[in-house]
Amino acid sequence: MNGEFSRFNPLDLKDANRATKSNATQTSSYTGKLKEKDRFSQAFNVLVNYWELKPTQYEARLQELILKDVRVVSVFVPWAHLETDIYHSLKKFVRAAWTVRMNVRLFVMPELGVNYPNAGFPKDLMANISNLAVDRLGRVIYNHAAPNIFPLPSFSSPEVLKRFGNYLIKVGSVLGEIFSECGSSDFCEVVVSNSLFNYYRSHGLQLGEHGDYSAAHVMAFRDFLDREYRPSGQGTGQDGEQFKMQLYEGYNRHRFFTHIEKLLREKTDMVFARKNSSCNVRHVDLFNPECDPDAAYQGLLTELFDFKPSVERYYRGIIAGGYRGESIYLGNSGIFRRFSDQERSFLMLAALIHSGEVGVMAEELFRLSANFQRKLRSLVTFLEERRFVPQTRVTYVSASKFSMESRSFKMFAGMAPGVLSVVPGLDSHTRKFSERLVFMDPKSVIRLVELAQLLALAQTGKVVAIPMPMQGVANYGADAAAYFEKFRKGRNPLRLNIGVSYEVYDYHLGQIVFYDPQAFWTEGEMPESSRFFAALLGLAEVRSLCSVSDSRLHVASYVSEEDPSQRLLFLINPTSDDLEAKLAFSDMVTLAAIPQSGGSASDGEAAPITGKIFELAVPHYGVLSMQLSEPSQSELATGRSKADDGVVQWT
Amino acid sequence: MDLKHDWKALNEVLFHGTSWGTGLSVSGTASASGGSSLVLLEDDDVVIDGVASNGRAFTECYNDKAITGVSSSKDILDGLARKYGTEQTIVLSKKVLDQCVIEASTLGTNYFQQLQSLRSKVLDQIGRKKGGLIVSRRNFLLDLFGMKLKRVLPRRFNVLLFIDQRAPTSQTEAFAFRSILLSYSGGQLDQFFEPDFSSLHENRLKNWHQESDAIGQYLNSRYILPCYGIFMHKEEWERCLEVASSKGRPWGQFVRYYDEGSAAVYPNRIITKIMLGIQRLMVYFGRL
Repeated sequence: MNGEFSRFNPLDLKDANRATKSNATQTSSYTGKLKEKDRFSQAFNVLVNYWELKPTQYEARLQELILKDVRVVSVFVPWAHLETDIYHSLKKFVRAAWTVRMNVRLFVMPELGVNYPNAGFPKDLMANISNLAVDRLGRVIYNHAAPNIFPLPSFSSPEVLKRFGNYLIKVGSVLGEIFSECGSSDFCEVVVSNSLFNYYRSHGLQLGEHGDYSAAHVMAFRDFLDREYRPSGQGTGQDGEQFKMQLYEGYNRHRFFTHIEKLLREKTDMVFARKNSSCNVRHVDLFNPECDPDAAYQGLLTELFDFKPSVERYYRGIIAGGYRGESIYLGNSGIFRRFSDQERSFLMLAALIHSGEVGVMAEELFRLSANFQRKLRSLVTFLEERRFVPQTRVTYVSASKFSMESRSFKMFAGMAPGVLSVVPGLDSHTRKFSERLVFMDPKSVIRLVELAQLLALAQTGKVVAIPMPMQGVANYGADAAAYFEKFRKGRNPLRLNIGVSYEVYDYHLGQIVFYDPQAFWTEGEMPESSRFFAALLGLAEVRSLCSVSDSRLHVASYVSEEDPSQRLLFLINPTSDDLEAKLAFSDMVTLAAIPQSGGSASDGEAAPITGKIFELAVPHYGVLSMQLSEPSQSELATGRSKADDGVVQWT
Repeated sequence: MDLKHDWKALNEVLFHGTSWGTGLSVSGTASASGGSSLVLLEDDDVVIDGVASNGRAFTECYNDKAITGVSSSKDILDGLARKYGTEQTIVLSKKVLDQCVIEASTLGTNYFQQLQSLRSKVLDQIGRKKGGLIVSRRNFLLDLFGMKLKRVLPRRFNVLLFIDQRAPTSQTEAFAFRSILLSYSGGQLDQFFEPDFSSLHENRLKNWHQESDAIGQYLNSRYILPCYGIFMHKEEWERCLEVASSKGRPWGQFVRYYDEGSAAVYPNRIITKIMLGIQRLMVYFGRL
């Protein structure tokens, strides 16, 4: 599964590709996170809306894309379209992809912003109010963005779920027919995303109030609580019961939302694990910034009054999606189309850098300048070939992607910008190469299984911060509390109190910090806690890579999986002003340009420069990308002499 | 494709090349080209979000200190307008807007109509407070068929806009076109989608200068509704849009292209000829 946007030799790769994939599928279809080796080949999804084309045009359109070096075409499958399509367009499209020897990636979950009425949701489902998603305050949640305003259906509704299941089975049967005709399923990949779960919130509500609170899931929620907090066996069962109280409502709700999202994904997986429709299944979290609940009125008012949209607000949405590890979908039916070419180029690049994966409509991409396309292609190729991944140093574990304790998350976001990621529960946590600190949300309920998982994480050399049992409010299960006491026994931790009291234990290769979460359960400011978070980052040796003199500039960094000393640094200017800034490192470093041709630096490119402080000019809506490495002895000597002279100019 | 409301195609064909950011103007307070505005959304007299017409990011909602008292203090509004480089500030009530959104959602999948409905309701809200008018996003083609000719046209009809992507003088460029069929019902834009020309020979589309009647008749029978068609080259269509945005006479410009033979209409009957004649006279007297 290679190449798409970045490939120049389609036929060779195609064959290699097919061979690799058939090996994979002969054993079993893979499910879950994408394979390590494929990580960056997924970086750029070139999207085509097949229902906007006539079936007779499919092959010609795909041939056009092949000529533009696109090797994998991505398509959304609108639910309602598949149900009503008498022309069998999906089948014809996938078959056309096979005919022209192109790989196809199908996004089968309904996604907001897709240019189909109601974004593909069947109209009749929305006629029944019991099928609609409801926010924390009991109001129906609406989508305000293009293609039209409509209420969001609830994935907790039995009717919606049943109908969705039938739709998936239909997709499976369509694919099954094609696979049997073609004799292979290797060219097709099904992408399972989180669909509406990112958008279940009305504008103005806090992140913690995210979620679908429709009546449809009340019973399911109760069942979930009973299952999660079973009595521990001995005694009266009080241990589990206490965590069902109102005090833990928010935490439990968010765990439930994560649980039903996971359940939906698993059911989807099952459809594509059937023998006749078996193909590669990949899971992603997809996010369309213009449908972001926080930006609901931005988009609507912009359309309503025919305004120029704000790049900075759109960019904020991208950053939020980046924290949550979501792929960014930049559709062109909403306000994204209103941006100028330069702004669109910037947002595409920023989305790629912050999230690591982006989906753009083919016509939108190829409308941009050839120069930009070349640069983008070079960057994607470079990242893929050198196996660069976004540098995540701090992982924040909370009940869902939206339930972070606001004060602690704000602290981390401020102190470790660009290297912070959020995961919904420990089950979703995957081992990240550069991760140093795992922070468990202070408002978590710790059960034995979680405690054991966290301790196991620390064994691998990470610093793991876990809330300790509290006096007033129970936050540990009985067995977890017993295990905690057992763990403490005979150990001699370092005890500190700097805003928050905590204990540091050496544990195998890593360290465990048990901190007192009491203060986080109360309202109000916690100015003293900043020292605690700074200390945690210090303990985990999470330092900012560099300091930038202008706070309007954003820094993102990537690290090579092959050679951790190889890093990439991106300086992003989301403003409409040209900015000049000083970039300061604690040690001498060598900065070099990213080669344009994907290989080594070509003759025309500037030589690497060494120094500690660099002066840079970042153009408006511009991104400066540079390779960062430790200087060699000779570079060090040159750099020192330059550094003595003052700052080094980066041009 | 059988989309009835293809919002993307509508924007790509009808509004291609138009500049953004001058859409809102409040009569009496704004300049002729459209006053730059800051629209604030308030909930219980607290500003919760805002949009500036010049694309500047409204960031007050991210600050810890909320802006209150906007309904009573003109100074706050003036201060915000200054800060965001706009000429005026307009305050909308979130409750009212939410109610309008709920009502708009009942209009089905027609985003154009939903936005029109929202605009008219928001206009009421602002009108009551400021006595002004919102000039929403307009297109001279929509204005003609949706407003000016409303009384003389049938209750239901289609309008074809056919844009040849080739340059008017080019002989070598490959043929490509964009088109949109606007379906009107009772003076309202009811549906908009790319028409299905699959049963029409491609040569007819290529030679639309001579074949506009055949294309029009094909659409008449294909969609079983009377059809009116406008055929142009992309460059000339964009020029007309430019003229319209600078408050000129786009139809006068169109007549010029029509007379030069690089634009066509369907049906080219007596009423059309009279209307084109009127435009010619207007252009003539305009020049004088």
